[in-house]
Amino acid sequence: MNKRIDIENELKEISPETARLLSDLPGQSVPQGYFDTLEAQIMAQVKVQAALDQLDDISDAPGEDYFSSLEDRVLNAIHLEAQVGKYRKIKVLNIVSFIKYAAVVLVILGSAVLIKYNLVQKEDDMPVFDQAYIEYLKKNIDDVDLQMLIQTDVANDGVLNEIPSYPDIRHEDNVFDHDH
Amino acid sequence: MQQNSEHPDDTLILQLIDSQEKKELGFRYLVSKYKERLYWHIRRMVGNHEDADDVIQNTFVKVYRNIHTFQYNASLYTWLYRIATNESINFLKSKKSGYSLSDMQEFASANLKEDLYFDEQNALNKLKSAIDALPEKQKLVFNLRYYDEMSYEEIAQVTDTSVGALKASYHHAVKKIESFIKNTI
Repeated sequence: MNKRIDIENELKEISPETARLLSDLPGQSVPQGYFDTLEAQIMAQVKVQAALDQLDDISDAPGEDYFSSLEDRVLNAIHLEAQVGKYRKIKVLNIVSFIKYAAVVLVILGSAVLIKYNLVQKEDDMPVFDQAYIEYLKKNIDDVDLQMLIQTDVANDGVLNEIPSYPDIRHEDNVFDHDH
Repeated sequence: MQQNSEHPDDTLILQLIDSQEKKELGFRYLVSKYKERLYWHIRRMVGNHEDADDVIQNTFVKVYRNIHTFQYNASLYTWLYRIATNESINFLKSKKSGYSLSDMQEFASANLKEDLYFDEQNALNKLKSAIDALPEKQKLVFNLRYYDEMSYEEIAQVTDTSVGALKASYHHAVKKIESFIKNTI
């Protein structure tokens, strides 16, 4: 109440006539029961507006917590991408290692095949002369002096190894050497 | 500002609104507590009951949608008045878009005369017209001070104006009303 009196006194100081007229001014009225129904009207209006806002949200606007959670989601995506990147690197390294090991194995196998192939080739490549010579020696072993052939180097080891009795002769030779 | 003991205080109302479960109940308390004061403030701004009814509903819808932006260090009471004032000014502008401020004052005055609920007595009607013919800012300050019994500090929060400027504005408003009455009666 003091506030009302203070305001009336302030007005009287500025303009006594205006203060008098204003105090006589009748209050304006509203339709009967207006304020009783106003609250319900406003609450209904608010609910309609809230429903419309929700519709707007569904149509195109991001969710209420979209921006508040955006930072976390972006960071998670970055971490995930980093993890996938590492995995990819590891995978690439594994493939490189595998290729290296496979290459080594292939080189070893290849070398082995080549060595074997070269040996066979060497056997196959034995001169026709030697083959014929071996056949001849096999057929006429009793007439040939192998000791003499060895000492004079007429026949090489490749040829002499094909002769069944050659190892025995070589053994005899060794025994002979020991006897000396 | 007069306190109504039937209503919970502003802090409790805001706490209820903050909790999702009781938001509607809290808002109902807010409407119940402030509906009449805001209605009369708006009615004095726009001039008649029908327009005041539209504006008060828009005001509370706006309050509901923006209550989460309310700063707790401010007064809820002055914040509500601020929204109601802006809604009233926007209403007057939209209804008379393209017109000057003085046109809007004439429009508000004409609205007053058309008001079915206005008690028509010649001298008092002129007084009311004098208030309504005030420049918008002076009228707002006069209404908030004389009818809403706000302190100058509270009016400063509503209007973003210094207390000194408001006192000068109120003084000019009263002198203009006095001059208007003397010249027309």
